[in-house]
Amino acid sequence: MSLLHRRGILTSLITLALTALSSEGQTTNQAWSTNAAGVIAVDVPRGGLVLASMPLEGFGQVANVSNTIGSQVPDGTAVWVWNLSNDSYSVTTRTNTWSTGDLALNRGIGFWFIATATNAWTTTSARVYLPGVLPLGTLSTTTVATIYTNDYVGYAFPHDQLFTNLTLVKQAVFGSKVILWNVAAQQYYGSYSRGVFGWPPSLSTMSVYAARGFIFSTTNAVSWTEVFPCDWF
Amino acid sequence: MRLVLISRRLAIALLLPTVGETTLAATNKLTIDGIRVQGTQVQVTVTYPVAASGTVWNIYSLDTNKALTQATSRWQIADTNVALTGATATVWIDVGQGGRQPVPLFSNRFYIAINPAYDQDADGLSDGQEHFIEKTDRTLADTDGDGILDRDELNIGLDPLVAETNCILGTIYASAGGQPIGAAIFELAFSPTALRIIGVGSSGQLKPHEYSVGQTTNYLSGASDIAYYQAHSRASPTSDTALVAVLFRKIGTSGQATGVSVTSRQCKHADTGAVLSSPSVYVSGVPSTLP
Repeated sequence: MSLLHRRGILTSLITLALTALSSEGQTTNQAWSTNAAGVIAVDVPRGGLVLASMPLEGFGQVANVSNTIGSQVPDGTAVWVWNLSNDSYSVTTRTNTWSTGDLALNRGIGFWFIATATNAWTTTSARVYLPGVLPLGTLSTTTVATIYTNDYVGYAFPHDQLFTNLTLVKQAVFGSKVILWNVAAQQYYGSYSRGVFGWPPSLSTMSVYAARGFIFSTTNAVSWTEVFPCDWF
Repeated sequence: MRLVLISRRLAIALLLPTVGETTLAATNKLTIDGIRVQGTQVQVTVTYPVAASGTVWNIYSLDTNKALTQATSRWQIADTNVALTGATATVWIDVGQGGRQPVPLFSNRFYIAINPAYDQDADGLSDGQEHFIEKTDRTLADTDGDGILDRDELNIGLDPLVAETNCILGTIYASAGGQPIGAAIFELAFSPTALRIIGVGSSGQLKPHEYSVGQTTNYLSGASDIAYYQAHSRASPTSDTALVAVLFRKIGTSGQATGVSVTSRQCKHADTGAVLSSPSVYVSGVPSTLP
């Protein structure tokens, strides 16, 4: 058994254990299920790009392209997953199946949907529902490490959040940037730079939307830790 | 509600004798183990450690893409009476039951399975309903402490999170379907020129009759200081007991609400005038300020 295989099993076991513990205190009286789960929609336009991010945990295993996106996009669609450790993409393309279906979609990491405009598309866009488990309990604290230079990231929880509420933005140093992707215009927009006295006021009204990614640029390596502000479960 | 067998293991399990099957609520936990969107359906797989059948669960769902908070996140009842299949997994299919939007009309949706049998405070609302939908305290039968149980407040259209200060809650007994069965008589400590019912409702089979929220004066009995609320039994069973609540608001000369004082109340038969019972009066305060 390879080391990677062992690590995969270990990761799955840890995920299972954490999932079981995620609703600690609520399972004792069995008033409700041990977890809550759901889906988050991402609309992928034919021939377009979407910068996304996975905000949910996998069901007892690591969320990956096959078990999360599956056949919800037409053949020819590619998924480019950003790798923080080496600043590069891992790519998988769908042709009946995904070429590298086990490519992980970890929370907090950005990835691109890159759609072609082939005849495989019968509609102008494909709605992709990303399924998963709500990150509660011990999973409610998530760290994305390490962010440096230009990285594609996303908010690790399944709801909209103001950029100015993100610890990543709060702790940013002078010269850091937030760059967004405009799906409708198919181009980058809104490059917000942190000045000497802070972020531009216009950023205070901007949100990172559920399951969407953005680019964060920084000159100092940072670890981004967020806590799910969930008091409704 | 639709149930789908999801695996060969499950199919085999169904062919086996049911010896050893148990009620899930008694021993085990339910886990949402997978969600798949297929066409216009969302297939939600729930699993449990041992074979169980006959256990009834509810499914709640929450649609949102906004900030999630306890105050704003109101779950909806997606389905009730979801029976397990007798094996260790069941697939429940979301097609938009309960007036909810089906795929692909919603963006984000979450699910949780609720065991309706758990009611810590014995107020008639399950822990799950209190925590996820009503936002009431599942350990307190009367969350706002106004003397009216959470369930009763919901049944009669009141807010269980806001204490009522001028509410009278009485009991009316139904006799025969379609016939007037009684009236709750409320004696007021003033001579009203006009009153407005700002909230009425009933539990059980009794339905509010004639007087809707916002109506004024015509339910006053003569020019005296008595107002009444009358209820009919409209549906089977032909006899029933129901809680009836009336919120009084006195209308001042400027049209603004002023104070209301309630001195006593009783329920009488609509025809004979006989006192049916001493109603259960939970609030008899003399509010100085109306809500």
